[in-house]
Amino acid sequence: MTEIAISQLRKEFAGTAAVEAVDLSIRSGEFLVILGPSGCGKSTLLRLIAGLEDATGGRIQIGGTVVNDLEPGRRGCAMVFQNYSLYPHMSVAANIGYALKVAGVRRAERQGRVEDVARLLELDHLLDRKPGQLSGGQRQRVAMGRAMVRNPQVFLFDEPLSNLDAKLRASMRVEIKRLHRRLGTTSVFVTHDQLEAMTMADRMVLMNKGRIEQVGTPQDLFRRPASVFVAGFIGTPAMNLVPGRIVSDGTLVADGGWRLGGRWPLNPHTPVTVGMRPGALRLTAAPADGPVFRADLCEDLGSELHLHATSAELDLVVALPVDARPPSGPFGLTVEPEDLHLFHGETGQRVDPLPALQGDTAWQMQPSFT
Amino acid sequence: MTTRSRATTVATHGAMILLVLTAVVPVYWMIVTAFRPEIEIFSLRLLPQQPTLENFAFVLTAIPMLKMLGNTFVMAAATALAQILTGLFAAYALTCWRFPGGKVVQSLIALSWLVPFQVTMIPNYVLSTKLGLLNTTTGLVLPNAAAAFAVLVLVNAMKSFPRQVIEAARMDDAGHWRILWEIIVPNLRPAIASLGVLAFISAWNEYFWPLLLIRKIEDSVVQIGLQMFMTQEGNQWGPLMAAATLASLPVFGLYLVLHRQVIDSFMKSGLK
Repeated sequence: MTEIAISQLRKEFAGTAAVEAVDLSIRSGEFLVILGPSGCGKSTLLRLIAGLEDATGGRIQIGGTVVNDLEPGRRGCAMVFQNYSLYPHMSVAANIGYALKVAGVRRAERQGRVEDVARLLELDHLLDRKPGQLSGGQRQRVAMGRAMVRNPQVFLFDEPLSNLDAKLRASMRVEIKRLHRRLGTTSVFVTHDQLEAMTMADRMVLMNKGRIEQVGTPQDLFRRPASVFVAGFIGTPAMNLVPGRIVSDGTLVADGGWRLGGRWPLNPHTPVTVGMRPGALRLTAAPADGPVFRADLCEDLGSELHLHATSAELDLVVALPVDARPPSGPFGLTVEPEDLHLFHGETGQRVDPLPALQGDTAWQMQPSFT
Repeated sequence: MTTRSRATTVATHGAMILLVLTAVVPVYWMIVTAFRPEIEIFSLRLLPQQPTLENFAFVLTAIPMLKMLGNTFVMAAATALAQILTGLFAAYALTCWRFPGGKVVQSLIALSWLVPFQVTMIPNYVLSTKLGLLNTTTGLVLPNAAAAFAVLVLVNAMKSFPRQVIEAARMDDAGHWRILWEIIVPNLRPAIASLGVLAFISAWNEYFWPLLLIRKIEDSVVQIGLQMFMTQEGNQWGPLMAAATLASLPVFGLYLVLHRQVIDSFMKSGLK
């Protein structure tokens, strides 16, 4: 069983921190996905675990052993690279078996293990080919085989699906998940694709500017984003983020005089950012006070409609069922208080609502629509 | 095809044919002159009227030509091999290891290329004498065993080699030695082949250094042998051309064997 413990990890490139103050514990057998935009430090974090980069500070433990000073090949990790990184001059069999050759495994045993892995990955008819003669998906599988043949303690995946077309990516995603279920090896998977992250992860790490924004299950990150960044990053279409403030009676008002519900543990006049998922917004009649919207554009995705609603101050996206009719005239929008996400305007951190009081009607102070 | 583009094509091809002739005619003239009898030496005919092997026979008896060809071959092959080896090690260190002053070292190596042979000739001679390398093939090879040109060519070739492949080998626990010989070198064959040909030809054509270092004709190299036919009383053109033809054969042979890799390396800037 192999857990990975990272504490206060830091990596600088020419004085600029690429990874900063990262504390992370990866459980044994877990499939952890590191997600984030380009340049957020996710690949650097993975490479630090692999040993391909030396940490500037902090500690990495794999299976209880501090590995900071160990060579990449001695850490018990196998890695699948973004561009597969197969040895161009070697056959598929030699590619898969190279680590065993380096480890001094005898030819006969090596051949047996390579064939076992190749059979598992349906590569057994391609063993004599060179990487240049394979399709993208086949190369990807060879890269997987090369990682698997060593029976590593940890699998590291560096955006391994990003060079595949959409269909192949979906099937490889399922294949990797199945393999993980079968082998139960601790896996760390880096991606910038949130669909990949949401569907594959046992737990996710969302990174931004070298720091961890949030760690949790995909549901945690989607339902309780810890910061404005997480809220804006997770979800398609993205969460609507609207500036607002807490008014003197403790209620929440978004820009455009839009009174929203909930009780919040913030002082009056505190600036906030309000998050509303497009699917949580409901169409209503145009209110007498509060923002009046008009339909600007409606995108039909086949499975749902994305309505771009604009008012004098706000531009929001509303997800509607595919059979809904976009309004032709002015309309209002409403959202249940439990579907609101509130973030402190200065720190960007999530603010949880106070538990609702008996008979509390604060959120109902919005105009009533019919 | 428009008149203009046809004219351009004709002009381009004409220029290329002219360039090819410039390169080929002297070689052709050398070979035919080698087969001309003495009375025909200055003839302008394209082919000798009475082709003869007497020039070759004369060369082989007048000087230890075969021995000299052998010496030159050993010296040139050893020099090329040494330059490739030292170039590979230096290029690996400069591209795969990050160390302070790495770029300075690379610049110094590049600058050393600009130092003319005449500057290093005397110190090298003194050193060779003190090491007892006069009249030895080792003495001929050693000062040219490392070449800035070789290092720079291989640094560029290695820079274009995908870094992730090297990292994959590191993940497979391959050490530097294995990464160099089992991963990088097999993929740099075109660059190494062209470098080998160039280094071999350059060493083969070496004249001054052997002239300084080698005192005995039978230990000498073929370029010194050629000079034997250029005397104060006049040049012996027939034997000179025959010796030059013999001296060119190994280089032609080498190029014929490796020409595909050489052209490959000039055509390709990097690995796919």
